[in-house]
Formats: sequence, structure tokens, C-alpha cells
Amino acid sequence: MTARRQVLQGMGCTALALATGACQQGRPPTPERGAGPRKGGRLRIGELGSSADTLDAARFITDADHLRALQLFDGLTETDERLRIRMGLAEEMTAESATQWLIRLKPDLHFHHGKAVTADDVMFSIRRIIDPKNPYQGSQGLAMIDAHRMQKLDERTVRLTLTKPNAFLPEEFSQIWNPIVPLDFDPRTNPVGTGPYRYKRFTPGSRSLFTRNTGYWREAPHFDEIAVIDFNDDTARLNALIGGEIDVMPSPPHAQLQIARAAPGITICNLPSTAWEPFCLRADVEPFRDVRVRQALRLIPDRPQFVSQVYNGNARLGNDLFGASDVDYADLLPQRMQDIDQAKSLLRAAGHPDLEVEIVTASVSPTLVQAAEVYAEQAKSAGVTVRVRRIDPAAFFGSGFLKRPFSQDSWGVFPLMPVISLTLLPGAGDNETGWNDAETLRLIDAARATADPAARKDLMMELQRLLYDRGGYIIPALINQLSFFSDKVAGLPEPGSDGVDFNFQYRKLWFAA
Amino acid sequence: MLPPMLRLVVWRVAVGAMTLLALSTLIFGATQALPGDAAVQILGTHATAEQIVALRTTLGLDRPVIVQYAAWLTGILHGDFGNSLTGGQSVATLIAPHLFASAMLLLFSFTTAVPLALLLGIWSAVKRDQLFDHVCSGALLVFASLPEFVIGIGLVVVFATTLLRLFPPVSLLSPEDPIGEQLRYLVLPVATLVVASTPYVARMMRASMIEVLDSDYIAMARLNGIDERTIVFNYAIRNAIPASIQVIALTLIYLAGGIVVVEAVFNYPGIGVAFIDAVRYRDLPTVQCLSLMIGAVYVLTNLLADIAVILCTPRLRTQW
Amino acid sequence: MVTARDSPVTEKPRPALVRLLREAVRLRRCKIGLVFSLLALAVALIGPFAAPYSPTAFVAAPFAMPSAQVPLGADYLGRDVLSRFLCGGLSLLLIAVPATVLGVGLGTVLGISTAMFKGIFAEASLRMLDVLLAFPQVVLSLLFITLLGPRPWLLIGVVALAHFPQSTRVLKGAAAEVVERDFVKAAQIIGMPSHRIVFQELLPNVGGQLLVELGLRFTYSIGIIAALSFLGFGRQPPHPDWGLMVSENKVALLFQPWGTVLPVIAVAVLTVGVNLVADAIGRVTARIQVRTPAP
Repeated sequence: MTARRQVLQGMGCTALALATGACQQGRPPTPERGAGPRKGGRLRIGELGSSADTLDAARFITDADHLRALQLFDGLTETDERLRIRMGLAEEMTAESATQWLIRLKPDLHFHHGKAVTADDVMFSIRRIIDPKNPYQGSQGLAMIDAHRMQKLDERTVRLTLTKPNAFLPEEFSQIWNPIVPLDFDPRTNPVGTGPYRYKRFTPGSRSLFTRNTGYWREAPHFDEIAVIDFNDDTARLNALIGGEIDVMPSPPHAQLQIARAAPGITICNLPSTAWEPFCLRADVEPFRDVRVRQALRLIPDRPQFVSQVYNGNARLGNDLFGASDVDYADLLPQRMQDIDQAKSLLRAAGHPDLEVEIVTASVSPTLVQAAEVYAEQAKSAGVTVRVRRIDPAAFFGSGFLKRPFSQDSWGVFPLMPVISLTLLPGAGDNETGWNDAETLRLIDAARATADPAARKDLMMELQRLLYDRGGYIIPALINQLSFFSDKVAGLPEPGSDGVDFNFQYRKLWFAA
Repeated sequence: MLPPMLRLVVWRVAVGAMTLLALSTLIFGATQALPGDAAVQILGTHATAEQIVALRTTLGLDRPVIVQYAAWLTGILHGDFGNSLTGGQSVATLIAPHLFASAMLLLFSFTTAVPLALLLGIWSAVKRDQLFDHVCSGALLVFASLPEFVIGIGLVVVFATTLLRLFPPVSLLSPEDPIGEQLRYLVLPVATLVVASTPYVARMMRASMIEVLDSDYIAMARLNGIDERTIVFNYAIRNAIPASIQVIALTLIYLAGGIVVVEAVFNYPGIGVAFIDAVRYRDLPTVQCLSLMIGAVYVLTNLLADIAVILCTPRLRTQW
Repeated sequence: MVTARDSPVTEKPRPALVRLLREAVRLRRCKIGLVFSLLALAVALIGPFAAPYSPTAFVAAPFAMPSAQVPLGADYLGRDVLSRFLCGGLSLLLIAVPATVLGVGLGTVLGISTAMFKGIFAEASLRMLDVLLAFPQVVLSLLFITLLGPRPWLLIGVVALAHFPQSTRVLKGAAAEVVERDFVKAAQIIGMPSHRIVFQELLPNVGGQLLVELGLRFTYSIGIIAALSFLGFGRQPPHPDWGLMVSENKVALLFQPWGTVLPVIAVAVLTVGVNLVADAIGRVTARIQVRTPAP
């Protein structure tokens, strides 16, 4: 234990530790643990699953899917805990010109089944994602890659030719929905990747088991196995954690913090972060087609009250923009606050003085339904009646997804451009605000075509200003990353670290006891 | 002509079958044949036209009601309950694991509640108007008034959270865990079901037992000088068997009825919880299938109990 | 020779019922039951006027512990538990009372009719009602709620429907017993019109059992409706409702139990109270029947 940690605990203020972030044991510290990482053990993670779970990283939607994807796969690039882009499987990714990129893999990379990772696999992985007959989530971000003019220069090197420039290729490749998979990949029968853990068993809605990849291309993970166990509800998960039947509980309901603090053997990780759970207004249907209605609805939330009632203080004010941890984030835009009078006059001007809307929600995250209920209550003062309709969480991302005029979603921490590619381009896989705006497209193309980072940042600022003024997202809060761990788990972020994303990085953890 | 007893049995079976048929009509009528557009109700007001048309075709809502009903009925007789509207898989595969979980719950509750109810009923009848009877009757009266979720939460507060911490307050049931590990999770739901169902049937048993004890037959035995103990254990209990059968049947019925709420309290993954989710998310085929199953349990249990009583009662009091 | 003046046909029915109630109240269980019931009813009816905050206003952190600001703590969204509790009983009563009256009323009508006018129609209707008995009441209610949604009028209707067959049976049994008595037969012989027979002879004499049935059914109504609310099919959020509160705040049972425990206690007190009163009336009715056998 570091001296700093002892001092903080000696002061007995859990609150202080939480304010500076990272992980804190709920009870007085246990005796000195071993100095370094030890190998062994099975890490058991409790999740809320359903039979709709999938191992196909390119298609994942839920938290649990994301978790599994990060164990099984890697990308050409990746983000670190401060969300900076760095090399992953690639050792080099450079733009030879505006429309030509060179990607070179690191040497001696192997998939789980032993086959070496080659340029062929890279090209296959890219083609799979952008295939126009069956495009995956990441397709809009990579669509400008010409599938017919990919060149294999040697076993480890690929030259990509783009139809349009895209300076953000490293950002796009850094997300796990663009994984590198082998030619014989199949999500059901052969879910093979390069990740720290390899597939052993998977029963959707029940359990999955992964074993250590001894041939991992960097420091080998410590746990022998990782198991993901599905639960019915959060109370059952917490009980299992307290009872020692699981070791990790990601994304617990904020209300359980009090129990976890008092329970023996639990470490709480409460990381100030920028996860976001937006309200999504479809800008292509009535009544949200009128920008004044969207602006009015964005002026409704009492954001500090939202943070306290929905997230119990474990969040910061959001400004209706995502990507808040990105270097290009527009943090100089004024913080939007509640303005009921302005909201009312906007609605009147738009011809909807007594607006009645229905919001579709589901318990896909522990706070989504509460967020809808709090928003509905706050909307009353503006004369807006919001009816909350709960649907089956298993069906939330089903066929009705993207078709609901007023809905919600739950996002983690991501860089700015990959989310833009997923949400703001017409036809994109997560275009939940029905966004099809010429100016937006112009700015995106311009930013992608700009090599100079400073000039690019200006364009991104302009884009965010546009979204701030007339976008379809209402983002009242930027949410902490919350996880509960058993005391036996070591390697967790120290207090005072300034990272924003530690989720699911289980290859860095080990069992202390 | 068939002997009268056999005729009665056949008639009861026929009545049972007709009740089941009427039940299916009721279920179908309540879920699919109501006025208004079922598809719009299920999908919500903002559904697109294509979605509504697609759902109407899936459910067969574009055909006349009689045809729909006939199709549904034929499907059921072939074991095809249709596909779940939320997940798409067949209703049968969806509910199979739930059925197993509920069956376990019912089994443990039944084997606990029946002896308990019979014992309490008989003993409080034998010890009529004494302290045991007063205390017992009072307690049974109180518990009989309480809704199941009140009993459930009460037990959770006492045994799992606030006062004592003996048992887990929710259920974790997985086919891969050994049974012994899972028994812990059954204790509170089983206790709730037992406490909720026993009072009614215990009181019934008591009343029937009192009737038997007050009967001429027993009075004659007493006059003949037979001791009280033999009277109770040999004569009275034997005559209370038909009543016991009714009690046993009723216990099963009350348990099956209480299962929906009790599973909800403990989030126990049985058919009760499956039913509630199906209702909540308007998954018509699943709702229809589960209600039919629960109703069938009722009808079957009643039928078997009636037949058992017929077979046990030497003097048949027929109503026709 | 019994004169017209002396015959029981002309006896006024009122004093018998009042006497019955008076005797019932003397029983200790009735006294306890009345105290419980009136206490719970008072909270449900007067509570909304005594609530310190609006039941939907946010006044503290979610699941805040009891303090000067929120005497019984806060619920899962940070609303005052005490206020929501005081306001949460009314919706229960507004459904339970009409449902009980409707169900028992219809049962009385059908029960007495089938007792007086026997025949194939009576038997057939009773058999059809038996179908409804082949269902747990909660399942029956949920069946109709699936498509129509949890609307108040539907809840009243299905709960009444759940009571209807049982009440019919009970009232038919009670009425059938009275119908066999001489004074009713006498009235029929002298040609008294049927409706007068029903109101003057039958109803007063089944009054005791009718009251018991009303009491019992009211208890079950509260139980079913509270259970439906608990499952989420009663009053919808954000409105306060005892059953709904129990399920909303169940997750915090370990450290902030009031949001769940308070409504559970209220429902328990109400159902036990009414049941005790009904049981007392039932005992007295049985006693009176035993004491005054049919003439």
C-alpha cells in the first residue's frame, strides 16, 4: 500500500477519496498484501444478461457484451485510461497522403488458435465491417476505405486507399467494435481474437467462461480464467458479491453504495468519468423536427438536481455534448442550465404550448428508468407532459430501436469521432436522433480531410457548437464509472489517478490473497 | 349401463374437459379478441405502419376471431404455443427452465404445507376451545388476512435483512450450481407460500374435523365406552379423509395461485415471474400459454380431488 | 291461530341487523379489528391532507436516512417517504371499495335469484361462473390487464369479477336456507310478489352473511389490488401508492427500510382489521342462527 493511500484512510474520509476518484475499500485496510502481481484464480464477474447477448464484438450493444469483447479481441489501435490513442496490434499507422494509409502490424502476433496475425486478417476484418450487404456498427467510420484497392505489401503490412480522406482512422480503429479477427472467424462457432482471454464456453443469458491467452502479445494476464455469470437483478448481484460468490460487480445501482460501504470485503471504485445516458429526440419526426421544440426540451432539466436525484451525486453536469474526455471536446461552451421561461416561450412559438410526449425506457442500465422519471417530473413545470413507457430490456435494442421519437440510451466513455461516426451520419448504426444535416456532414468531411491537428480541432469545435445549438441529444450528466470489487482483487487504480476509463481492463488485475 | 360410481367419474372428467375449454375461450377472449387493435396496444402509439402490419400478421389478427381461436386451439393441442413477441424464440423453450424452477418451489411448499395444515387443523379441533386452539385460530386468522407479498416482505425483514441475517433475500438459481447450494435460496419463498396458504386449509380441516367429532357416529362410539384416543385416531381421522383430500387439493390450488406474487417478491425465476414479465411487455403468446397452464393445474387438481372423494366416500350423495 | 299481525312476515327487519352488529362489537376481536381498520382508513383518507411535502417533489438524496427534513427518510428518487405514504392509501381504497360492492352486489343478485327461481338457467349460469373460479384472482386480473393496460375502471371490473362467483355461491347458500323456511313459503302462498319477498323476507335474513361476505371480500380486494400495485399494474409512477412503494423501495430494505416497511405495515393492519371485524360478525351470525332455529 502506498503511503498516500494510508494517509487518506487514516483520515477516515471515504468521501474525500471518492472525490479524488479511483478505488477505496469500504472498511479499514486489511494487512499488507503481497508486493506484486500473482498469477492464478478465476475472476467471477456478475452481470445482468439476457438471451440476446452476443460474442460478436463488431455488433455488441450491452455492457456485458462490451466486457466480453474486451477480453477476446484487440484493435489495431487502442485508447489508454486517459482516452489517448496509442498503438495496439499495429506498430505503425501513418498517412502517406490524404487518401493513402500504411498499417504495419507488430511482429509475432498470434490468434488464440495459434495462427499468426497477418495482413490478410487485417483486410478481412476491415472488409467484414464495411461490407455494404451486411454493414457492422463501425461501417460509417471506415466506409471511405476502398475494399477493392486494399494492398498487401507484405505479411505484416497493408496499404489502404480511401475514397475520401479520414484523418481519424486511428481513432476509429481504436474502438473494440472494429476488432481484428482471423479469416475463419465466426461469432458463434469460432469466436477467435487476439485478446488477453480466449473463448471457452458461452451460454447467452447464463454464463460464459474464458481462459488465459498464454501467447498474449504483451504482458500476460494474471487470472487463469474469467467467468461472466448472469443474474436476474442487482440485489442478487450484490448479495453474491458480499457472499463471496462473485468477485466483480460492474455498474451497480448508485443506491447500493451505502450497502457496499458498510459491507465487509468490498472495494468500491468510483471514478469521475464522462459516461453519458442521453435522452434522444428524433429530429426527423414531429414534434422534434422543429428545432425550437428540441431547444425547449434541452432547457428543461434542472441539471444539478438531476445529478443528485438520479446519480446520487456520482456525476457532473453535462452540456448536451458527448465525448467529454476527448482532447477536442468543446469544454469552453457555456454550461447550459435550466430555463423554464425560455423553454415555455420556445414551445409556444413552435405551436406546442401544452406538449405531450411519450418516452420509451427500459432498465438496460440501473439509472435509465430513474432518469426518465426525474425528467418527467421536471418537465411538468414547463407545461410538458411526459409519459414514461417501460419496455422489456431485452427488446430495447431490438427492432424498435432507432424508431422511437423520444427515447434514451446508455453510453460509456469514448473518443469523439468514433461516436460521431456511429450516431450523426445518416444510415449509421446508432443514429438515434435521426440526424441528417448537411452542415454536419460538411464539417465532418472537412475535419476528416484536415491533417493539421489545430485546424482539425477548430472544425470539431464548430461541429460541436452546431450540435450544442440544435442537436437532438439531451445529456444532463456525465457519469462516474462505478464498480464493486472483492477485497481480494488487486491492481485497481490508486486514489488520485486522473484516468477516466478503467472498465473491464481485467488483464491488469490479480488476486492478492 | 355403467355402475353409478363410474358414471360419476366420467361425468366429472367431462365437466373438467368442458371447463378447460371454457377457460381457453376466456383466455383467448381476454387477450386477443377484445375490441380495439391489439397490435397498436402492444407496439405503442409511435409504431410505424409496417411494424403494426407485421405484428397483425404474426398474431393472425387480420383473420376473423373464430378462425384465430381455432388456429390457436389446434396449435396448443399439438404443443405449439407460438413464438414470444419480445424475444422471438418459441414460447415452449422460453418457459421450460421457469417451469422447472416453479415445480421445485411448489414441491417443497406442498410437502411442507399439507402435513402442517392437516396437523394444525386436526389438533386444534381435538383441543377445541382450549388454549392451543385459541392461539392457533387467532394466528391463523391473522395470517389468512395478509396478502402474500406482505408475508414475503415480512419474512425478508425478519430473517434476511433487518432483524436477523439468516437467509438470502433474493433467489439465485442456475442449472449449473449443485442443488444443495440452491436450497438456501428456496427457504424464504417456500416459507412465504406455506404461511400464506396454510391458514385457509388448516381452518377448513378444523371445521371438518369438528363436524366429524360432533357426528352421531362418533357420539355412538363414545357412548359405547371407547376411549377418546382411539376415537380420535381410529374413527375420527378415518372419517375425515374425504375432507383431507379436499384440503390437499385446495392447498395445491392456493400454492399455485400464490406463486405469481411470491416469485415476484424474491425475483425467483419461475413461471410466476415469466408470467408477470409477459404481461408487462404484452407478450401475448406467453401470457396465453402460462395462464392456460395455471388454469389447467387448477382444473386438474379439482378433478382429481373430486374423483378421489367419489372413490373414497362409500355413501354417495349424488345431486342428480 | 296466528294472526296476520303476529306473523313473522310483518316483523321489521332493521332491529335484527343492528342487534347483530351490537353483539359483534362486544367481541374482543371485533374491537381490535375496528381499531386497526379505522386507523388504517384514517391514514388513507386523511393522510393526503397531512402530508408535509408533495408526494412527487424531490426533497433529499435518494434513500437518504431519516432526518429533520425527511422524518422517515427518502425513497429511490429522493422523495419524502412520509408524504408518499400518507398519500398512497387513497388510490387503494378508491378501487377496493367499488370493486367489493360491485362484486358482492352482483353475487347477491344472482345468488338470491338462483335460490328463488330454480331451474336449468340457474344451474347453467352457476356452472359458467365456475370457470372463473378455475383461476387465481391475480392471474385473472393480469389476463385482462395484458392488453388493456392497468386502468382504474378495468381494475374495479376484474376484481369484482374475481369476487362474483364466490359471492354468488355464498349468497345462494344463505338464501336457499331461508327460502325453505315456512314464513317465506307462506308469503309465496298468499301471493306476495317476488320482489317484496326478496326485500322484506330474504335480504334481512341473509343480512348477517351478506355483511360477512362484504367484509371478507373487502379484505381480499385490498389484498389483490395491493398485490397488483406491487407488481406494477396498479397506479403508475410517479403517483404514490402503497403497493407500488413496496416494490420501488425494496432494493434499499437493508439500510433504508421505511419506504417498504411502512406501506407493508399499513396494508397488513388494514387487511387484518377488516378480517377480524368480518370474522366477529360471522361468529355472531352463526350464533344467532343456532339460537333461533327456523320456526
